[in-house]
Amino acid sequence: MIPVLVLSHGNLAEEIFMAARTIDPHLEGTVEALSLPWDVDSDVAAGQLRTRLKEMNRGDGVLILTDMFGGTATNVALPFLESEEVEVVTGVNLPMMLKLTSLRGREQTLHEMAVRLMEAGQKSIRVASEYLRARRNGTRHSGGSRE
Amino acid sequence: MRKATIPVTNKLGLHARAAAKVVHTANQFDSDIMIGTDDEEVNAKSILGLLTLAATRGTSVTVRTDGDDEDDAMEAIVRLFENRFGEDE
Repeated sequence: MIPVLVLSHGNLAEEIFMAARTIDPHLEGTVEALSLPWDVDSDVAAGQLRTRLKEMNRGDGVLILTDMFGGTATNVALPFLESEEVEVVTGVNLPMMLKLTSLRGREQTLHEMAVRLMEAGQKSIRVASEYLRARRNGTRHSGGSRE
Repeated sequence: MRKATIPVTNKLGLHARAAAKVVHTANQFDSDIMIGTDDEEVNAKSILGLLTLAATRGTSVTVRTDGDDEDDAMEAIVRLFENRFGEDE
């Protein structure tokens, strides 16, 4: 699988990675985390990211999952898009991380993987009462797709 | 096509770590594997799909396997549920 780097300010990246790895230990080895200190210099952060991407890239590129579009972690990552060996998906959440479990072993490009993770992350956000009510009323149908 | 109904017997139900184990087991087989409750049926190779079942202890789930290795797939999935996903309680 194309390697994935979770990137954030503070410990968010490390913590969300730990949570996902606890649920699915098989994620170890294909997913890594880089947490940037709140007071990190952006040039230093860019240097750290460049080094990490070089270490992780096995030829198919690296997918970066960041905390928030417009945030420092994303801004540090965006210049690497020009290399076309990096794709960035913003707004990382735990379901996106777990989606990686289902994507393992699939032939896919960096961009395809990015889109699938984005869709999984968006679909997983629900108002629980509304979701359960709709299910009881039979107004939603089988989750037969391979989410 | 094979079909079986089995109860969820572990304390935490079909929670995230258990669902991950189901996916890894299901992915070892080429057959289509579906798991469902009274409310809906999902692909057993989709962890997010399995989590939408919200199957707690006591829930009966129906497993369907369909494909060349459907017998082995069914046996492996049923065994995983019977073993409470490797959990103590």
